[in-house]
Amino acid sequence: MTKLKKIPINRWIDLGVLLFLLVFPLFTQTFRVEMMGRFIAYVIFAISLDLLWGYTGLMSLGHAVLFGMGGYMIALCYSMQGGVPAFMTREGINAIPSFLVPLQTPAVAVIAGLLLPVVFAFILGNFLFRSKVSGVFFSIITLALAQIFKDFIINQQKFTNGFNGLQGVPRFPIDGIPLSKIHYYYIILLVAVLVYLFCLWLTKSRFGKVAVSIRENEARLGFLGYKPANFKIVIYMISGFIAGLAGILYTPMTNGITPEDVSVVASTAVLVWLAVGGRGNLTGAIVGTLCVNWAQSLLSESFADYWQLILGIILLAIVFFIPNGLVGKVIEKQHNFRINRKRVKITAFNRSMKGAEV
Amino acid sequence: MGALLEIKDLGVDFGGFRAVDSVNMKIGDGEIRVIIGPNGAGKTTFMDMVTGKTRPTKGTIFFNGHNITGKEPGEIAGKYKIGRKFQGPNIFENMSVYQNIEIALKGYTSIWHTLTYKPNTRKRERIKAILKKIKLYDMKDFMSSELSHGQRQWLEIGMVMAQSPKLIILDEPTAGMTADETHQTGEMVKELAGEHTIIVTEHDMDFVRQVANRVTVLHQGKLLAEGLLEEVEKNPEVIQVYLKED
Repeated sequence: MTKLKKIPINRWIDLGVLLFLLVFPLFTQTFRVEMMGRFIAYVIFAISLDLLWGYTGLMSLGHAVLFGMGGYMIALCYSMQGGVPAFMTREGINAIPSFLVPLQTPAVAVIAGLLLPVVFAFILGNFLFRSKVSGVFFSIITLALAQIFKDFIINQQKFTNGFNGLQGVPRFPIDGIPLSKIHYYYIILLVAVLVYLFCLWLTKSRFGKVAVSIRENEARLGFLGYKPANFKIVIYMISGFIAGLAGILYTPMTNGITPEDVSVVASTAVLVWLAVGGRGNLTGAIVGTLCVNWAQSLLSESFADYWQLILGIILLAIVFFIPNGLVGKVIEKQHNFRINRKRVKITAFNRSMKGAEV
Repeated sequence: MGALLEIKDLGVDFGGFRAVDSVNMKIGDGEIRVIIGPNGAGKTTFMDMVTGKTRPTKGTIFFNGHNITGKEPGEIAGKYKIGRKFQGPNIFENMSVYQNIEIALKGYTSIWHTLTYKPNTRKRERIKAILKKIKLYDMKDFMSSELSHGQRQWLEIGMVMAQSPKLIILDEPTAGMTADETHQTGEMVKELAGEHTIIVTEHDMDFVRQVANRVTVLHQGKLLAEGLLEEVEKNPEVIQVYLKED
């Protein structure tokens, strides 16, 4: 019983959200299930950024690049299933280029979609963190990167179909029959739960505490015998892996991926979800992503003309009045309640000691 | 007693300004050495060079028989086991008191060790013992940002203890403390002296008298005097540049 009481309040929220998501498809139309499935993929994406920004304090403004790498790999794979796709023949390519041949196998595409962001994060991380780039400079470099990556995707029209993106990505067909939306929804949910459990373990471990120490006072950590750059690189790689995974799951649910999904706008959207939900506790990533995305969908359905204005005002209000985010505020309340009770105890104890002396 | 730390002809320039100039010093194993000197005497810069924060422009630093001149802070802390408490508390603000000590615990600083680290009873007892020594056990679940200034200073002393360093460097550990807290800090430092070698810089002469045995006086980057506290206090030069203000 005392153990149960020690569980932080946000873990109960996580459990509640999970139960809700488990029964959600039973009570709603299929297009809502598809929407929610997409949002759960976004949750995975948001968790990956939470590791990097919320825990380690590295605010990436180009995280959608890593998401997009996963998404484009799987999209490219399925667009090449029926031979050379139209956007390639239009550019005069009549046979699938040899470096793309392995991608025709979905398993290879999935592995590529996971490893590409990891390798990318490893290389970039080595450059940035070894040369002690940090703070706002990390943000600016990743921001530039998102723009470059989007331009790259648009320019490589013969491989990426440019502006239009890759469409018609099926939901991981088995023997040519794609998974139903409901089935695929539960697969995304299962992966999300696994990612959540992994991140929970990781952030509870000493490794996770080192990550938070980097956020709080990186220089101090060096004097304790740690090499912060190594930790930052590894965290960036883990975050890249999870972001890639989110992209792989997301793309078949929406049928495709476009350069908009890897743009600066997409990258900053995740930052907003995290800011609304609260950083550095995983729950904030979950709650923030689901709340903002639902608000966005419902508002755009009811107030087609000025929904962005309403959403903008709500977001500003949250960031202004509760800078720790919704979940951050709840955790803070619980912490303060416990600490105040403890303070009362300590003061009472000190007073009784003083009394004994007199 | 052999010298644990041996400093030869150490100096550093900052764009022509010589902050520390040709300092020679030997500190024996198990000694408490107090470094005093007016503001700008080069005390903190000296510490920065020993702990790898600042690279000396000349001279060498030998620690435990190894030349550690110009090595990285992480290496000096991890491999050679020199722990440092900074001037003004330098702690992890939005982490609990307990976590601050835990993260400082020695021997688990590689990525692999942080992933396989298991908080068993032995480690918990060790952290508990440190928290009791620095009088923060009751407040272990507090965020360190919720502590008073003096308690934050103690927390950082606790972090240095958790590193189990051979040499502990304390840069003005009592800055901003009440007289009572300063006295308690002195007792903590004396308790540490049994197991560790300690270098401490300080302005508070009551504190210096409480803990000191040998004292080194720095002035304008140069070593002005060195010896037992009673001798140094009588040194006319020292009185002129430093002690007269008291």
